[in-house]
Amino acid sequence: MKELILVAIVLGAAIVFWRPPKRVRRLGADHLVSTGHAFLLIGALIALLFGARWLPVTEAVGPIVAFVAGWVGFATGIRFDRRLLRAVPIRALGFALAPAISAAIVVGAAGVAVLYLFGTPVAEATAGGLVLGAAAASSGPTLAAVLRTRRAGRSAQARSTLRMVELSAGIDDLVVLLFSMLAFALLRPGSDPVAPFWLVALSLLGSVVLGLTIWLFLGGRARQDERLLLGLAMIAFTAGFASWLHLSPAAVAAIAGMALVNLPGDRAALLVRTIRRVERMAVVILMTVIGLHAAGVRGWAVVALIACMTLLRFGAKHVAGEAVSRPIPGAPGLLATSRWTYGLVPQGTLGLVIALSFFHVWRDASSLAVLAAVAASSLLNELYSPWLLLALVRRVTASAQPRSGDAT
Amino acid sequence: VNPLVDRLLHRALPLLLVVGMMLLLRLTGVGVAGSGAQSTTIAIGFLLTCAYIGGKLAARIKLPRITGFLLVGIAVGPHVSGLLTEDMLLAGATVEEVAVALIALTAGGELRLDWVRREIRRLLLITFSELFVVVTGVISVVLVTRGWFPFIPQGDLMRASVIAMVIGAVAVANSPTVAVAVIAENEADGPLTRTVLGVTIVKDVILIVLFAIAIAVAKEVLGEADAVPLGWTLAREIGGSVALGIAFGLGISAFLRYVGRDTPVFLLAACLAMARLSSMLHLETLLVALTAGVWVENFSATKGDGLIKAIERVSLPVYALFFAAAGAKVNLGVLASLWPLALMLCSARAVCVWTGTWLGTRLARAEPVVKRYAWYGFISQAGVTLALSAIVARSFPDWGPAVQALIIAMIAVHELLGPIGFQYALRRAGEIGAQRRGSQRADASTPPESGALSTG
Repeated sequence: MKELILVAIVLGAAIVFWRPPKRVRRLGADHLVSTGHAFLLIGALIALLFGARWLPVTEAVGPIVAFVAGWVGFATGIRFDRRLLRAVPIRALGFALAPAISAAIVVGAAGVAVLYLFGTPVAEATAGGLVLGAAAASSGPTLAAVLRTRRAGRSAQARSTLRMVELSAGIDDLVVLLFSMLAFALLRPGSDPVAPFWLVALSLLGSVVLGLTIWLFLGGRARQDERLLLGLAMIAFTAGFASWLHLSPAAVAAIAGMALVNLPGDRAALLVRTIRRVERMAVVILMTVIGLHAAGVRGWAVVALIACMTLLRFGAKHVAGEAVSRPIPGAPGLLATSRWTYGLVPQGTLGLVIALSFFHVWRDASSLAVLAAVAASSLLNELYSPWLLLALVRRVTASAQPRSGDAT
Repeated sequence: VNPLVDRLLHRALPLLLVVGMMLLLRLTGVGVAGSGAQSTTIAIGFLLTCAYIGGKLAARIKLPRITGFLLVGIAVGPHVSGLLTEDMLLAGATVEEVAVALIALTAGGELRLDWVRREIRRLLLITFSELFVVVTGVISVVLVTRGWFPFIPQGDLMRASVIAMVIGAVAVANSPTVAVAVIAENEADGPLTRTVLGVTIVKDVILIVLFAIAIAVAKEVLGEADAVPLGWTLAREIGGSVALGIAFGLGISAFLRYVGRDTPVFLLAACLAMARLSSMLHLETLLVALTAGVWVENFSATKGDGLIKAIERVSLPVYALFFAAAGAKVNLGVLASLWPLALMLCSARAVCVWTGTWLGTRLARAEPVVKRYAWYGFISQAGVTLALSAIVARSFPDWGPAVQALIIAMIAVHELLGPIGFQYALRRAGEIGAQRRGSQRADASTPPESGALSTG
């Protein structure tokens, strides 16, 4: 009977996800459905309903989760095309990175302290803190991109501010990748035949070789369905390579993606066009599995970590954003206005994926607490981020309009 | 670019890099060596990468792609190169279950009941004549040559008859997955394609009944009968599978009608649910998915075209993974040790399949191409037969495992020859590419819409 309820929930969720009913749209929960956070809740609901019975399901979809992590990383990596980045002034990149670096350091340090205070050994606490830092650095650009196309975001100032938010939310993945690699390098199995530093260096080389391999494969003639097969094969292999070495599949796939996109030709686009059709499934599976794992994790440590990921993260981004809020020389289309970091509140998928991979590799209480905190804060941040972003846009638009007295 | 250089640069070199990385991981012993999600992911990636190259090579020499998938699977599997271990493949069983459900869903979606109603007499004649000839033929061969089988006790005719009956029941099976995969790959359509698909599906349902009866009779004769009556087991297995299949069919129809977006993703999720639920409720995944497909095609407001098109978009990776994994499980060691017996039984089965099909198609007054080539479509054996052999091994612990080893050796032969034979038959019958030609003709004959006229 419970299996039938499970199937009904999954089917209902699928229908809600693909075509949200009017009532759901009226509640303003559209973006929760489109970002997949609704599935986080559904996953948690399933876990609470069925207790430990869902465990075999998560084990069975383990390879799919690793693949999804690889896909998210790969999609992140191919955004770092030097031909596009060259068009952005270096100073603008520095400004855009400041909130992410600040949030990663502050939340990371606080996370280490919290985990250590609640009895986690130093190495595990540091690794957990680094993962929290990575997740804190990550921001989702979707809301800003959507708002830029709506009436509220059409003024020149609003567009420039939203572009700055998008740039920051896009480029902060570099900080996320760096922190996650450090976290995965800190915790190594005792059986490693080489020192962690060399292993990570070799895995970096392996990622670049994988990027080159995909590039070589894509050079040959292939039908559309063969390209889909090849794309799935290479992402699964890259994710599996990372998992095998106890590294983050998302990070390794991101580096492979970066290598691929920066090699001559436009071969990455061929692959992305073909395998984009599995993207929705990737988000659904990822969010549901995170919800399954994170439900039922209790304790003050998790509460403290959630506070770090919401309040402290917001504070750190805000302070860093205010410190750089001034006109950016040579970048007229970008505006770092006061409170621009309000747009960086939503958490990116990459942070969630890295927290999930961290738990999948180590499967201990502290990695589960980190995953639960990242998942819960992602949901909380997603709930209030539209209002903050709208407030920012209204403020920017209002400040740009001439006051009635000025005209006279 | 020179085609040879192109192939070396864009296929051989990257494949070498992937194999080199896999070898490096396996030989240095760095990282995870056991089972689990970590090693399964890399195994899936590696299998799919090799299958991509294997499929291209096979297509180049005019063989079915699935033969290429099978051969690379054998090459990288635990029994030849050992690049992939049994542990690594074991954890990927869920993906295989999904593949079986998806393939059966395709088969069901291709089956139009009005055609079945029209052709049912013919289908049943061919099916039953083949069943009769194969079962009696294989049983007779095993009984006559029973002295050659090390696991058949000399002088115990009763036990020999039971073992012969079980082998005969398993020999009837042929692979719906191979039939569907070869048809899909070649976009085949026509009397031969439909007859082979129809007979394979009808035979699959009959086989479940026949095999359950054979096992029950064997247990009864050997004094190991179950407490649960045979009728109840059959009713539960077949009735339950059909009921669950209808439920899924209703769900898929509702999705196609009211949502209709991202159908491939939805279908993959539905297939996962089908496989898991069937396993939990001890039902036949194949029958569940087949019924769901038939329901969507024949009883839903939105016909199965959307379903088939959605499956086609994701079918190649599914077939590649399924058949490469099946190839990796082919134990060439067993084939090497049992090859004389396996070869004898394979030859006997081939003769019986030919005779049975010859008889059936003549009784049914089938088309000449069906009379001449249909038997090629019934050679292949794969997943269903493997599952049946596992049931034999479980049901009869003293001689079952030996029979299972023999059946696995036979599957190795049939799995490789079956697709090649069926593709040859489709080519000779001129049915390759008929689906594509049919849809092009339909497009050409469709009058342009009024909107197109007004804007044109």
